Amino acid sequence: MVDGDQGLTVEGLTKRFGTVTAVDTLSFRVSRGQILALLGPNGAGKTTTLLCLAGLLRPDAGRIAWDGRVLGPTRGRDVALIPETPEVYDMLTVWEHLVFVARSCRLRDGWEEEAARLVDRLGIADQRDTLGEALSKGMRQKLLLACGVLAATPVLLLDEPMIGLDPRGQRELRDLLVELRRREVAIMVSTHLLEYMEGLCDGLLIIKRGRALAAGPIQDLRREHGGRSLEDVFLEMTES
Amino acid sequence: MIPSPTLPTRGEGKAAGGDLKALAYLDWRLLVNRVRAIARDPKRLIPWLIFLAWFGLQVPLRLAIGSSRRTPRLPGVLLAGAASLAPGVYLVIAGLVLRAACRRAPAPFSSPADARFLIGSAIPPRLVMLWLQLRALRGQAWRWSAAVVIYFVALPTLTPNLGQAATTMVALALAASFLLGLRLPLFLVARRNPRLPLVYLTDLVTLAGVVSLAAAVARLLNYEVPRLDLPPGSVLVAAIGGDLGALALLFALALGAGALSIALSGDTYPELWETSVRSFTLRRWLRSGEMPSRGDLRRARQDAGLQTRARTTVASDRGTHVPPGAWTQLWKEWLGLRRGLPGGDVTLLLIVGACIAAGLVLGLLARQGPRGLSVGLGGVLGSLLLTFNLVGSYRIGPDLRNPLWWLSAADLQARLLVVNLAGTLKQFLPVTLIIFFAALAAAQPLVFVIGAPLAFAVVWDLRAIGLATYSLFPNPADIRGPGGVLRFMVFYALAIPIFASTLVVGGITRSFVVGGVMGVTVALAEGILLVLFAAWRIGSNGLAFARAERQ
Repeated sequence: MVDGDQGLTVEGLTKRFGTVTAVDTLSFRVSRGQILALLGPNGAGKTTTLLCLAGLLRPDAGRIAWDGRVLGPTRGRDVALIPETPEVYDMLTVWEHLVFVARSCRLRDGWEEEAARLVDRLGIADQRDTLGEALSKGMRQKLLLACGVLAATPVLLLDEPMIGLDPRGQRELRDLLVELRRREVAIMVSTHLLEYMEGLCDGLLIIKRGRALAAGPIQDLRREHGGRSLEDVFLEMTES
Repeated sequence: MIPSPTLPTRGEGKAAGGDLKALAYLDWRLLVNRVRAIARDPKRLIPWLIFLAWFGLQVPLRLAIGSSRRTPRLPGVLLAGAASLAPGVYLVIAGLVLRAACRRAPAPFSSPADARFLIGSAIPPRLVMLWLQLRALRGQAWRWSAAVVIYFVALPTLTPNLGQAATTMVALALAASFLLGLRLPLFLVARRNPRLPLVYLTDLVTLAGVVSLAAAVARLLNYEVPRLDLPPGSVLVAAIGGDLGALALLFALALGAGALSIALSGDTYPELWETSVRSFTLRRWLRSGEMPSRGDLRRARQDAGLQTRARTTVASDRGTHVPPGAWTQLWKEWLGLRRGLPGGDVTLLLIVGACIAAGLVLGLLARQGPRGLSVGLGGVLGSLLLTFNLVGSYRIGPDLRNPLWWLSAADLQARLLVVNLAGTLKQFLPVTLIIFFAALAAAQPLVFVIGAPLAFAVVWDLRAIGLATYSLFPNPADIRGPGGVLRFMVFYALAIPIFASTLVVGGITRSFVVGGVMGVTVALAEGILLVLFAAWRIGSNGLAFARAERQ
């Protein structure tokens, strides 16, 4: 953890849908170069939290800041979200998606090499000229991942990124996230795959009914619960 | 490894010019790839080429017919009647659209990907909004141009020349753009000032429209009431009539509303996205010719993370009176209709009320209104029903995809016949309600005796034609183009034996009723044959149809 206002700071985030409070005064921090796992049972408010952070939902209350700078309505420029349902343009090829991201995000010259390396690494280089409509769910996910990384936002949010990826893709994703951590990107991953995240993330945030149940480094949490596995800890906290 | 030194960084130097280039690149590549995708499957082009050739041939033919002095013109009384109703109708529509705008922002994105990529880009929101408005304008231009051509081709007697048709469509497009442009500003005002009684103000607009409409109907029924042709509907009527000042005013209103939308769109992404998610679902379903249920919309919102997964429970039907075999399909459709209707019983009551009102107005106009107006308006309603069934899409993919559908002990023919019956009843019941009250108000029971069975037979045949065409063109895009032409042709072809049998049997027996019964019987038999044809096509290959429908 980095002290001060470095990284993504979320304070008192609240989102209601009518009478239902989906996210309830949630506060946490994701430092530069940190991977935070967002865990919770179904309907806990994970996706809603990510959508609020990405600027796709308007929170009812709370403050979202990057390096101490409050992120306003256009925070989509600072926060890239890879959604659970990978939505791509049916009528753009893989490469054209990357061209559009590069131009619309005003990337400086040299992005082509980076984009080529990304598609190669994620195993979609031979799909370069394939239209979005012909891509499988896993391929779409990889494409969105490539777009999200290429956009070079300081914050990357991933919602259930492993669903749809084959074992090779899951390993590449893990390696890529480690790389991005080295680049000091703040990463937040919402998932149900506890074992996958255990060896990867630096910290975790467990939520239920929109409220934080636990937050902090995994080892600290396990130690507090007598050294039991993350799965046991998670089940104990969310089912109590 | 991705070496950090080559990490692309976001440049701040390239401003609006670069952003516009990015947006232009997006739309250009979407267009190019769409054309390529169409060209990739040349077989699919054949019915389209036949369709376009047919359409192209119609234009000179219609020109010749339209310029002929012997061509009967649409009665002036119908045009005058429609013009007198237009201001009220426009205000009612405006009131309802603006009421919805108080609660919900417009949905400008064209697809979920469009929303995600544009919102996540570094392009300023106002520029994105300007681009989306230009896109909408482009869509409107295409739509209304097509409408001008179809209007001109299909109804040569409605308008003396193409210029008049074009003026009408431009005026309608501007009036629609004005209304649509007002939605975002109104939504923002309502959001920032929740205590303002804006919804009540929009209800007043609707009420003013109803009063204007009632006054227009009363005048048509020869009652002495003052004219209440209120703007902007009256401006629209003047513009359609060729008044350049009115046309300029409509243009200024549309431009102003659009500019206001762009100016206020700096912080509206979350709301635009939320409404867009709903709109994507609606559009997907409307393209398939059906309304989404509340459950469909709720699922779409849940999938998009816009709503928590609240459990909806309803009292289960005890199933004691459920018909067996293929008839179970009818019970399932009934449950779906009751539970899926947006707005529930209120919507049902509104539909019933509207049908009763329409029937009463038509009947009263027939009794004491201008000669021919009632028949003309009834004809317009009938042609709307015809167009809806012949041009709209057809969809049974959700059934074909469902394993439960294939578990049924009843054979496919029987199930498709019941599906056709369910689809027929959904349209037949409101139509019959209109006919019944029209006959009642006009004091002509024969209208109901003849009209109701005729309406059933026509809708039954139309649904069967839709199903048979679906079994040839399951893709929603194809079923609207070449499939639409095929349906028109089949409809006219099927009308021949119906009329022939009616005339022959009616002539032999010298009984209009017997002839009518014969015609209705032939129509029903034709429908059954078409359903059997569809069953033969779809049988044991249902999933392929469901997949083709989803493309």
